Amino acid sequence: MKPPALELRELAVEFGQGPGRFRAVEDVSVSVADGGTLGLVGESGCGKSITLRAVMGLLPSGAQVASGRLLAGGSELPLAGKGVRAARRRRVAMVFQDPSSGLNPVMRVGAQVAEAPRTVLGLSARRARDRALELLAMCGVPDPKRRAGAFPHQLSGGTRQRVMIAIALSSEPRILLCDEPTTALDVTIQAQILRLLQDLRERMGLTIVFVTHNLAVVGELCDELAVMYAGRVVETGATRQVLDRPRHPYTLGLLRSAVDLDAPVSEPQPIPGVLPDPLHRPAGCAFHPRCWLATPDCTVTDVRLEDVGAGRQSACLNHQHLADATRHG
Amino acid sequence: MKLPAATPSAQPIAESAGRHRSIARRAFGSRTFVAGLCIVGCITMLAVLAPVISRYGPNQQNPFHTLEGPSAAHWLGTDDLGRDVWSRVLYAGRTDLFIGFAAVLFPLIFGTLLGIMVGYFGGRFDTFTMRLVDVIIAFPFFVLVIALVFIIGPGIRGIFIAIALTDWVVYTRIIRSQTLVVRELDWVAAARAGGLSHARVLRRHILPNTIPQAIVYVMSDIVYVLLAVVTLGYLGLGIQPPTPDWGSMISEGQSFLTTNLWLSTIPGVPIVLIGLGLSLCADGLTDVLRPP
Repeated sequence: MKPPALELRELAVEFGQGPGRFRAVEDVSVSVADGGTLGLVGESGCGKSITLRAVMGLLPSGAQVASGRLLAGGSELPLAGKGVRAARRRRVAMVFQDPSSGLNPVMRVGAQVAEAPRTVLGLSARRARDRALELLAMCGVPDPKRRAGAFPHQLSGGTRQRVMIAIALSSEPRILLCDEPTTALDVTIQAQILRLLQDLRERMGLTIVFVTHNLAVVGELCDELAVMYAGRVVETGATRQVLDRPRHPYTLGLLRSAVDLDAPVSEPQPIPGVLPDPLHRPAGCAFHPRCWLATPDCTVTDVRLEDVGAGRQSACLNHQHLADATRHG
Repeated sequence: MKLPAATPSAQPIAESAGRHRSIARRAFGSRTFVAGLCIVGCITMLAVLAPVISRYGPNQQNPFHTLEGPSAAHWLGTDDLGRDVWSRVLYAGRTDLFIGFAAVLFPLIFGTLLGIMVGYFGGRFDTFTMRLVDVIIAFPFFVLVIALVFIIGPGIRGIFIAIALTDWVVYTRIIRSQTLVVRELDWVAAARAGGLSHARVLRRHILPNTIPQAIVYVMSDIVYVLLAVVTLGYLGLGIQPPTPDWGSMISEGQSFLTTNLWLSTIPGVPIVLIGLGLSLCADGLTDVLRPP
């Protein structure tokens, strides 16, 4: 069996120093098969973007990897230190969330797409420019020759996002990390960008890790799913199974809080309470203060991901209870 | 991997490029900037063309015509040695403007480069640099320059060294704070993620997005430096006589303030005008350079 395209083992990311130090991400282990798509889901602040940035080696200042290993196709990629960028060159690339800050405002977009082919792949200026036009066309930028000469502020949000995907692909990566690339766009453009990503995955054999808080997007694009809460993975499994029959109350809460247009009565139900302060994590399961299934056990037991059958894992003591009680789909 | 051919376009790139008016062209569309540039340009031209325009040498004395008022022969009158004030003001402009424009070059370049380096890389180097900047900024600029010129020795060399030693701090501080903002933006992360080297990220992505701040500041800075040069001249620490200089002209005319007011006043006029012109330029540029 082929090793997974990307495998993250027991990642922990710390913020700050001294008494204010806390772990934003702890014990995160996920993997994605070659050519597969992994969705990383959770509410704002759950650590999903930090996890992605750690994989990319682009943690913001103040954050550092405390422990963990990263394997790409069986070979080790450093998570911190000097060789971080070199190791990811031509292997891993990233698409960012906000099309308004993702492009250099004073550079023509064609030049921005041509930059990596020119410097990293070592093409001549002319070939790099042709390559940039190819990439823009491939990413569905209309009339790429003209758009290449434009500055970012002259393009629409959707086109900017396409340019950002073209830039990510310009260094010829095998793995594409997407940090909520559709969040800042309106729904029709979102659908176009998702279709583009699916299309690119098939044509280029890309492996995609997709971070989002939008479960509808995940259902559309991803075959595997990892749900994160308060810096830990609480549930993993095949997307359809997880969405149809969640085995963690947090996943169910996320599903219930989303608007379901197909349901006869669709009243989104928010999850009560807020994400815990990472400096004062609740003992036991971090979700127990907000959980309607919580038992006294949940407040003391340090829950871990456990196999719950059919290639799925859940970090809930009462997952069996949930499996019996829920009938989704 | 087979790529679809790029669609040939009937519209040339020039059209979309034309929509973005270059910064220079937008600057010339700003009335404030053009007005400022005209003032600065006029005075600079007068100074440059001094040997052509003036009818007397700057140090040409005439003991028979001392302390005269304006006349057809001497447009702005003569000083106590019978030298033509109009000629001296023009020649003084050559010295003062040259120093003003030239002395800011080193601070601008050095301060900007240091600013993007410490802002981008951070760490101990950054801390050390910024504490040094704090120390230098803690002293009033003029006091520091005057003290340094006094130590190094009066004259052009002393002025250049004193400005070079003190003036870079402002550029470093401005550019560093701007770099801290730009550094965290996604496109810089994207550039790094794409495998670009630090040097290239700094040159292509950080510098073009931070330098406008320095360019706006350099306009006001020229005024400060000019004022410092003139002040030094006034105090006798700047340009040494007999080379004309606005500051020393004001100082020399002071003894005749009650009887021949123009001797001290007239050299002040170009200083005020240059200050006004450069401030207008800075104002216009600020509007134009604000990222779209």
